[in-house]
Amino acid sequence: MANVPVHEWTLLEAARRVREKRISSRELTGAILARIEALDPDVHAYITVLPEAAAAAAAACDQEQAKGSLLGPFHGVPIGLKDIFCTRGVRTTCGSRILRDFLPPYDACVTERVLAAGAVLLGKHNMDEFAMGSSTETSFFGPTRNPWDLSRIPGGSSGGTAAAVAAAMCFAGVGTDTGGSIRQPASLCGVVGVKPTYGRVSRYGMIAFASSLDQGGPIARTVADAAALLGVIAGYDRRDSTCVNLPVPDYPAAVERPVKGLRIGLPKEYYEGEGLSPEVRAAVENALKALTGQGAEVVEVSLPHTSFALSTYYLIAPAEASSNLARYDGVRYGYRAAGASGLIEMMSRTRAEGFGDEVKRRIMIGTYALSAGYYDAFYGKAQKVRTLIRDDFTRAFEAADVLLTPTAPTPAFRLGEKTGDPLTMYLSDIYTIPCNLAGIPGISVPCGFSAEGLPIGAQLLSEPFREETLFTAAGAIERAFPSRRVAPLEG
Amino acid sequence: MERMHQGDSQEPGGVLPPPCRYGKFSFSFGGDPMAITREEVLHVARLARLSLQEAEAGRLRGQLSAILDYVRQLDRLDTRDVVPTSHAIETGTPFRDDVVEPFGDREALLANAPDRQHDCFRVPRIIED
Repeated sequence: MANVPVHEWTLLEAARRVREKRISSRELTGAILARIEALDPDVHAYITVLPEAAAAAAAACDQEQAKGSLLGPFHGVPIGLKDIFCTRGVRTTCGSRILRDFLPPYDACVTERVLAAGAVLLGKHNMDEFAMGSSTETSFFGPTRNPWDLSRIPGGSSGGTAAAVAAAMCFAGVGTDTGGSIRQPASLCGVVGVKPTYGRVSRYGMIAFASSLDQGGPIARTVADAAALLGVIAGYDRRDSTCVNLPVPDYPAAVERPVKGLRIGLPKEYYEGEGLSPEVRAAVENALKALTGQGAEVVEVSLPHTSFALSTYYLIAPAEASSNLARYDGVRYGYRAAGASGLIEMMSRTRAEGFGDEVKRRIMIGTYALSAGYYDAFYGKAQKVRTLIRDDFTRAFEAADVLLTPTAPTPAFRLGEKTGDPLTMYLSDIYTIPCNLAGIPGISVPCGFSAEGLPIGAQLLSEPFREETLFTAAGAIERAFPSRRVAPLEG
Repeated sequence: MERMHQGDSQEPGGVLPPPCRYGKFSFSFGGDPMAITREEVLHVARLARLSLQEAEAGRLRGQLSAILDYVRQLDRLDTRDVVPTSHAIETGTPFRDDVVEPFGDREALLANAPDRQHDCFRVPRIIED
């Protein structure tokens, strides 16, 4: 430990060292801010960095501690948030021109909870515009680069968060996942990402994309860090009517539990597709060996409607998005097109100029799928297939405690490689999308590297509200691949 | 991934798109490589309050056609007796007392306005010629 540089400490190590007064929050926060200053011009993980505010918050933490009190479990530890979580008085853009100068008048529930835990906010992470994308290339503010190979994408939409965590430009972050937007970038950046059960984390103040699918969750360098952060952000919030009122378990305690006897289900449909790269397959097989080597059992399961998940998602998510994004009309906040002579012209031009191509594409698909004459054939049909997909998982979990799959079909691809063809880009999320449709929790945990040195992640899925089982299984995989997971960038 | 072919829509359980009730729409799958017409693109853009450039409408037509063509694979599934799912985790409708809770920072709300006059959001004229 003594030789590990400050920025490579885990979230829990950093918190412990502040608590034990072996380092001040000012010193800790300063080390990470210096790293952001040195590395972020290349990586571009942040849309907004808050050097003064973070230093002031760190100083306040140190003063508080000097008086003998600690704010919470992450007292004085610097973290970042995806720029989709409202932060009072700190601009929140959702990666879009239309919210380029938006100053939220209130904090998201997630923001409140990480701050109440004592964390210091370093800034806001880059993301695909309105979380629509799998590469962070649709951000109005320009793409984030993968810290393991700067010519490659970090995944998306929470690519800024995953890259910042992998490059040790924060100790952890919170992202959001509508079809894989936490797990896929976590996999491509070699870090841990958790999509909690729908309703586990409040969506209050989290800018809406597809409300029946969106869920916030932690991205961190270790399973224990992710578990601890989920413990802080999870739990009932009356301001989100879909937030479930269930007690929050001691997630970190689950990480060390034995996997002996745990039934690992392999959904055969996830391994049949032509798009799965041999390197990813081999890495996931190694993850399986790690689990069986520690006493877990293997069962084959079937999720027969898997090949319909992408179609279902690309009707439901755009339909909900087209409705949610109707609020961006240039009236009360955000960008407004100049020089319009009437209200409708102002709104139509504001939206045309304020939204990027991918967002417009999805608004168009969603509007079409919901429009008169097509509702039943598209949106109604997709909601029925969603039931079939959810029922597949219910049956699979009768035979298995947890399902093991690849998180993404390939390691990180190159910038620009898939921007010309939306459907090809959508295929990056083929293994992560069904989980959101079924509302179940999922985690991506690193399980190896490609021959080119790019990280590969394994995905674990469980029944609703069994995140503990995910942490137990992910912990077992992590023990077999114990790298510290900071990308080798020169600071 | 399976692709939808023209013949597939004739399978039992297949749901062909209903004929459109608007005169401006023409709608066909399979025979036409474009699942959506230029007029439909412009109509949907109007519904979505998006003003499109000429080139953008053409590009969107191709991309939306490809996506709609792809999602027609759902027609291969018989879902006549399936109940739709709108939320995967059913929580019921939570109720609370209808109590007014004033938001404390009115100025922070108004400060985001692109254009304002006193305590009002200002917009271009609403009644158009």
